[in-house]
Amino acid sequence: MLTRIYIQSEHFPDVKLIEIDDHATIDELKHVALALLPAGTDASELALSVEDDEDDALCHATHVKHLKKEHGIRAHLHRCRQIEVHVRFGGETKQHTFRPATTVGRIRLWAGHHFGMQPGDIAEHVLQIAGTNEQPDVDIHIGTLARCPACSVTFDLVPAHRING
Amino acid sequence: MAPDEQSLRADLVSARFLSGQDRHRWQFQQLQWPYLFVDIIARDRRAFTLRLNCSGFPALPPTGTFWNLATNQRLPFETWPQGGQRIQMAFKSGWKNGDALYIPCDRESIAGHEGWVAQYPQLIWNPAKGISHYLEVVHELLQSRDYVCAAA
Repeated sequence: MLTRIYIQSEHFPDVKLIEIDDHATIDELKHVALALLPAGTDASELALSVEDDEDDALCHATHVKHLKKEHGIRAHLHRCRQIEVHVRFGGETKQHTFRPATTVGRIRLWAGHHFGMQPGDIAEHVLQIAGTNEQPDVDIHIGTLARCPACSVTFDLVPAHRING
Repeated sequence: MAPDEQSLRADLVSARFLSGQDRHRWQFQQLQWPYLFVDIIARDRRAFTLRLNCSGFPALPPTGTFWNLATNQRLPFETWPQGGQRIQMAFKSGWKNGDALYIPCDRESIAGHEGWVAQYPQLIWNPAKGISHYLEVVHELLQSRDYVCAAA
């Protein structure tokens, strides 16, 4: 059976889709994912990680079927193993390291929690890349926003837009 | 097939659209060009069908409203999503006779609201994001705390 796998990377800005057999190995998956990279990209240091994978399932998985998740498999190709994230809010800054396949939505939750917000209040805020008006979608992997060797991103936590009339 | 229909059909199999569907944020129902019917899933898991007129896609934003597929008519106003100020503003039945949602990425609603481009840059139609952009804006509203869940 074919499984959809959504791939993000520091090497392309939008999510890409591949379909691969459940019984394919992780090495075969990585090979297919690497074929998505722009021609001439040095792939030697790129590692594959799985979205919001706190248990490091990829280390124990040998085949795609072991990665199956309810909402589809989402993976990331990046040279950095960790991304340093700074979030600024109300004159304070919180800092933490995340895997490249961590979503912006998950980092927003982490930041809101550490700034003492209630869940309902967190949902009314968004992460905006410092010094820009760019507010990445909640599904974007943090690795997409941090190109090696910088491997860090600074955000401001700002109120979400509300239409007033 | 006209280029706008061709573009929409390609978008419906794009990574962005399928990803949202796999995350159970929306579900494709049918395409009767130029109308696309998609269910958007609310915080209480209720599904609200949108009928979007996609003519001119993706250069022109879509425009649409809530729909009842069984009767093939606009959803009666009393069954539209209910909620606080944010929901009432976006889903106001008095706007365009209920034929368009009051959100900046809607073709009918951006007309005459040029100030929205500077005020709400994230909500302005972005052809590069495709139809998922409109769906994400509505989904986010239906997941917000302003949305009132159905009584259990």
